[in-house]
Amino acid sequence: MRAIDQRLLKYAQATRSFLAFSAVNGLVNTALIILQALLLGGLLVDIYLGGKELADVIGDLYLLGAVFIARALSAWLSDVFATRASNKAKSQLRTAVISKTLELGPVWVSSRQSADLATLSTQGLNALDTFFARYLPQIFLAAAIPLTVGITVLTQDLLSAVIIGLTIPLIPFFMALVGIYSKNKVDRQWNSLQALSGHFLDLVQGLPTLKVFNRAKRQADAIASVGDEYRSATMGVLRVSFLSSLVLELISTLSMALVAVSIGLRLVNGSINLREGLIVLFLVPEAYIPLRQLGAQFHAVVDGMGAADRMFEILEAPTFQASRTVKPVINIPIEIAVDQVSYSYPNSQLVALSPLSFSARSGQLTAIKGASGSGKSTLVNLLLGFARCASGVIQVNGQDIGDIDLDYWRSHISYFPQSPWLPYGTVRQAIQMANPSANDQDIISALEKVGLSVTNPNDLPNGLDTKLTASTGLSMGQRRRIALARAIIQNRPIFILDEPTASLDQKTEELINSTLQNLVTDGKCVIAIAHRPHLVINADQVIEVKEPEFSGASL
Amino acid sequence: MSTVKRMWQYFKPMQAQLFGSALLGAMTLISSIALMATSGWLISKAALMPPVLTLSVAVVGVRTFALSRGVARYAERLLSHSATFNSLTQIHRAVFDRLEQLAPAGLPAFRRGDLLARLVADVDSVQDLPLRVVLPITSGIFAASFAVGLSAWLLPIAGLVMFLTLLFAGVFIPLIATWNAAKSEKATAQIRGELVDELIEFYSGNADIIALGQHEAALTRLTELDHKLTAIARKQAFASGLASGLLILAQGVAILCSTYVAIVAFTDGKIDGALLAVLAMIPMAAFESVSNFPNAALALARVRSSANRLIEVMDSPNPITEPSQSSTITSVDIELIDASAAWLDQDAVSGVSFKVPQSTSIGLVGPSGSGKSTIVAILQKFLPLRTGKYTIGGVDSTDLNGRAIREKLILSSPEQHIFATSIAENLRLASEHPQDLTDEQMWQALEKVQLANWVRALPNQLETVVGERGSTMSGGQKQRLTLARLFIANPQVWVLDEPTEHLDSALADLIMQNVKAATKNSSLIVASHRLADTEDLDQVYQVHRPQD
Repeated sequence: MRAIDQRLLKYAQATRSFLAFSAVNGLVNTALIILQALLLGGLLVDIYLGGKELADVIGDLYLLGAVFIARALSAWLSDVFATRASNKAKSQLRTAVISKTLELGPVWVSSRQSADLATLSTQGLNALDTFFARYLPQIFLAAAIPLTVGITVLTQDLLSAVIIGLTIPLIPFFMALVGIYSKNKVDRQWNSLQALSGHFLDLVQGLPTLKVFNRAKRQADAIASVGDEYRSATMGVLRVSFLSSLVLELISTLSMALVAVSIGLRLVNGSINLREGLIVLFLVPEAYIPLRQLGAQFHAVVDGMGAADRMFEILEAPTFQASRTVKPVINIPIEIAVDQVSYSYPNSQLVALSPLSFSARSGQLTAIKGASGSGKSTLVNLLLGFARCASGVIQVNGQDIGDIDLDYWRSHISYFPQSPWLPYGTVRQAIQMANPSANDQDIISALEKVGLSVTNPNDLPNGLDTKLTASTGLSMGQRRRIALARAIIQNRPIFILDEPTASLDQKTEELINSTLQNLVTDGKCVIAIAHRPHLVINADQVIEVKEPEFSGASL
Repeated sequence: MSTVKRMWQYFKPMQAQLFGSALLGAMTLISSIALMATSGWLISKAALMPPVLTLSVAVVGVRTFALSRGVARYAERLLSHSATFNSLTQIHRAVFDRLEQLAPAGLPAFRRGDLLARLVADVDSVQDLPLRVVLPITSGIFAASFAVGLSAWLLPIAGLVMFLTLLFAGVFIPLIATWNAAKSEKATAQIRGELVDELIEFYSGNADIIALGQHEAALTRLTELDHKLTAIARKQAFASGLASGLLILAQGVAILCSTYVAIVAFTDGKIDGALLAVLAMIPMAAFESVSNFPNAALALARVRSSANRLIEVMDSPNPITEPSQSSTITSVDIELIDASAAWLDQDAVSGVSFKVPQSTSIGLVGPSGSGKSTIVAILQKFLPLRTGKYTIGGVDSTDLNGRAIREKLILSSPEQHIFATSIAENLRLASEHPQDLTDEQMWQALEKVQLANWVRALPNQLETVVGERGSTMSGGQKQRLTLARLFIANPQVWVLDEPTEHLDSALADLIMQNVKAATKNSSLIVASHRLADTEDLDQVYQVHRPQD
């Protein structure tokens, strides 16, 4: 908990002024509560024992009304500022997460679900509302209010102040005791809560598969038994963790009882007067309320920590882009030299690419082939700077690309990935993304190079205005070809193409092969990952990526 | 019946426990009120210096109420949580049973993972219905009635004061809170939706966006949306604090008015002086009863939208009507005659005809999106025919139970789910008698799909846990694991949908050889966009998109 408090604060500095406001507001509120006790206690005793009439205390009643209005205002303002502060904090965290994912790069992003990442930085952050808006200011108030109230009680009655002074510290003490005892168990409970939900989701997602094998009915029985196991495990934990609130309640109500009884008995022998007694009685519960609220909010905060943990996993992930600042002039002809380059995933012994050496030049088609899982796509990621080589070096015209400013380096590359992304919009917009100055004629001729005709409604039903939504009915093959046209119109000196002729019919495949040949004749440095024999036959050189040990195919 | 009421049905079996929890909850709140009132009476009386004995009942009362509050609360929380968890298992079971009938064609969610995840989150959020809505409100009403009754018994006009102020706090304030939340939701929903869409775009197209140099522009758009969202939230904040301010105000009015009427009654000689403090102190504790109502109202709104979505799923019509009595399958000669069918999201095939006599093999070729998977779904009786006929051994499929068909005809496809459990468990589910499946049989199946060496190199071998949706495996490995299940099931009709997706040609050829060798005496249906997969099959059919 503690560590996360501090880390959250570090990323959400917006909350600082709010905390200062909350502290002041909380103390003002306490002062108002004390004033309320003094007024009410005073006027009740004046009427009861002082022989005064309603008219004598009407002024005090008005004052009391003013105190209530002020307290209501203070509560309202406290909520307003809390909401604003937590929204500001969430905005800061969101911005931090988004910029961090950009630094972490596409390899990292592709290992996550896009929808999950999007949810985490929007609705996921709402789980932290209680933390920013309530829990943080409450930490200060839980210390300051009992102290203020305690001192006020001390001015009225020493014994009651002593009772408060002795019992309040018992609360954090017992809570820590119960907390230490149940901490591991509570952690386990949160895990099992997530596990139950995760297990159910896994089953639901797998339902079509279970049905294929006629196994769905059997799983339904398993749900009940997993649920029962979970319930008995959780209840065991709850029995202990609810103890903390039992302790809290008991200490605060028993102190109240202790104070009331002791005041009552001392009133009988006359060692205290009723005015002091009533004022103390009004104030005692107030000393315990902030701690009780803190305890209640703690549970909501723990709920939100799952989101916080996942966020820190992102914010504190190591990046590799700091030192890339060089912007050398990259002259044509270009030579890209890959020298003993390998890669393995962070935090894993799994080798994704075994050491590989080759060079690719302008005016050449370099085909990369290798078994599934051998690391061809990893090589593409390294060439584009989406990941950094574990060993070895990639040089362009003798300059290590690891030192080159990433955006600058990528501005030399036309890239076509395995499953390309197209924005929602028209075909024209998708292609102009790569080259805003391209006119319709340029775009049409680029599309023709990949075998898409704007006049053939089977290719592009609305020509360049064809919308790229899921419902347009463009096939994967057509979408890939639009992306290939986009790479062609970008027309940069280096082309990196991940399986440009996959899932195409033979005629289109031939057309694209000749388009690639034209790029090579134009003096482009073309590097293509290739499964298809035709692409390999046309290549000037064929690089075979060797399958890493213990990974990928087992031929 | 409202959707929330229908979800409440699942909690009904636990009604006794839940009612008990509500009573315990009420006892918790009533203890505080009684503690306050008794303490006030005790010290007011004591001020008149009576014999100590006359105070002893009040002293015992104070101590009892101090203890009962904590204990009642502890018992209430245990009882309510136990009852809720119990019910949640029932809901899981009921939702699963319903989804089992709907999968995969009856619910578009089965073709979109995020919708399915939301469905499961909705199930989870329904547990708030007893814990955060029904119980706090029930016990709050009990306790508030007690406060009103107690005040009225001591001084009727004070009872009226309590009734009116508690009514305001318990009904009006929650209404304001829900109204505010709805307003703020309405104001932010559109921008938040845009932000989520933009973020999903940003993440799903990350590599391309960066490679195209569009990331700075994307970041600017995201920041703008974020600023807009935060600005709206700032404006909304003024309304959001109203509920807590009004609650304090209501309590203040109650204290003030109770004190006023008590003073008037006392000076008129209608009540004992010791009741002055009591009547002033009852409101101090009474408003705790209704302080949770705004949150309960907000929770109810959340539960309602979850319940609406769940009920919509539960009420979806069955995609398939099963015969009351299934005919028996004598031979697995398969024939589709001019068949057409469509998914709910409109992907369709029409006019499909082919034959697969027992122990023969056919290929279905065509580009992705041409309807091969739709045909495969028809064959498994997952999708009803709109026109045409599907017969097995001469029997119309409408006279056959889907389960009976899927005993004979089993599919392997790269979309099949890898469960977050061990490799062995993922294979076992394909076996008719999982407990009899030997490790040896599993290794054999893994050999056939060229996965055995990889599994052997893993530290835990067959017991290796593969992570959520097989996240620790590559696409090609997952693909082969789903295929290995078919070698274990060894049905009479093997159906392979894109069996070599994610695989390079050499590996694909080798695995297809193993498939063909294993199906010498079975029927084999291969749907693929790779021509080589359907080489030397008995028949190959070309599949076209309907509009072509």
